[in-house]
Amino acid sequence: MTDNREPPRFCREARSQFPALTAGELSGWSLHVTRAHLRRCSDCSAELARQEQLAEALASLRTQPPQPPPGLLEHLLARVDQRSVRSRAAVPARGAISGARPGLSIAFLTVGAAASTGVGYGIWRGVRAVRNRRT
Amino acid sequence: MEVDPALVRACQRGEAGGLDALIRATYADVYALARRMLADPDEAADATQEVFVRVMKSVLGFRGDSTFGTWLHRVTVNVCLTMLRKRSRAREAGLVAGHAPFGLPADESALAARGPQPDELAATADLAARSEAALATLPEDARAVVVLRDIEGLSTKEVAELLGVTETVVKVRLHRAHTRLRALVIGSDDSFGEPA
Repeated sequence: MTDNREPPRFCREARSQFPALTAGELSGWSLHVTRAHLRRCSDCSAELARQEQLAEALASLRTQPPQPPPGLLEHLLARVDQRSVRSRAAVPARGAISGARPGLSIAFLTVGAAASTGVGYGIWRGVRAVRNRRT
Repeated sequence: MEVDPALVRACQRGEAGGLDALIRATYADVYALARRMLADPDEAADATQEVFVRVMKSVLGFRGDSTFGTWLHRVTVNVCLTMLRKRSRAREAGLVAGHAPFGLPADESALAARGPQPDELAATADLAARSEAALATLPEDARAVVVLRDIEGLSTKEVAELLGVTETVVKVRLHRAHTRLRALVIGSDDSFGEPA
């Protein structure tokens, strides 16, 4: 148990903070209380040492990723070569304003058409007004 | 996952070989993440293929709001979670056996009885190998948290967002998983680790 026979719930609560403590995510009052408990409880201190050992072991797995099975890359590339799949990643249409963003192309064309119509209508109204004044 | 933005741009421009180069550069990382989340090499290969089908469908629309690596990571996790849920449903329907259900509190005692015992794991060559073996014995929801948090190095908040759970749930799952991993990998006798 603990050095000074603290209630087990103190140990349980302290140990529930171990993942955050070893990750450096613990702060404030929780950090203070957990550290204070660790100073008093040798069992929990030993368990924290094991937790740190575990954290190191898990982090080491990052540098030892499982290797893909042989043939997976070839299989993926073969799927890319299938016409049905490649067509989904098709080259942007010739003349598209933004091939990577079809929505943007449609927006540009719509705004352009609306602006042209507006300008044309303005000129027509202007010419008509001038003619009316002359007559 | 680190991905050269030039590869992504080449792919978006439809350059010859762009997609092939992107796949060559990233498939090992995608497979490694899927392999650890699913703990099954065949399912990991299937998940990797599904990820790249989604990449092919979506790469043109990728806008760079996040880095491509972050996006690819998220797609891989989502594909794996979908497969885990399907596996869980199939298991409930009695179609497959041998995997703990995802999203449900696993029966820890049954799992402990089924998985490798500490003395068996101790015989394994080194700590990393023992960790890998012990990781595979965790319930799927707990394994997902450990893989993303401890191996992939995401924060608690990021893991919670990816898995669609609260940060408290992530912390509880992580605490339970660590208690179990410490017992299996290092042989601690944590009588306080599991909530009553």
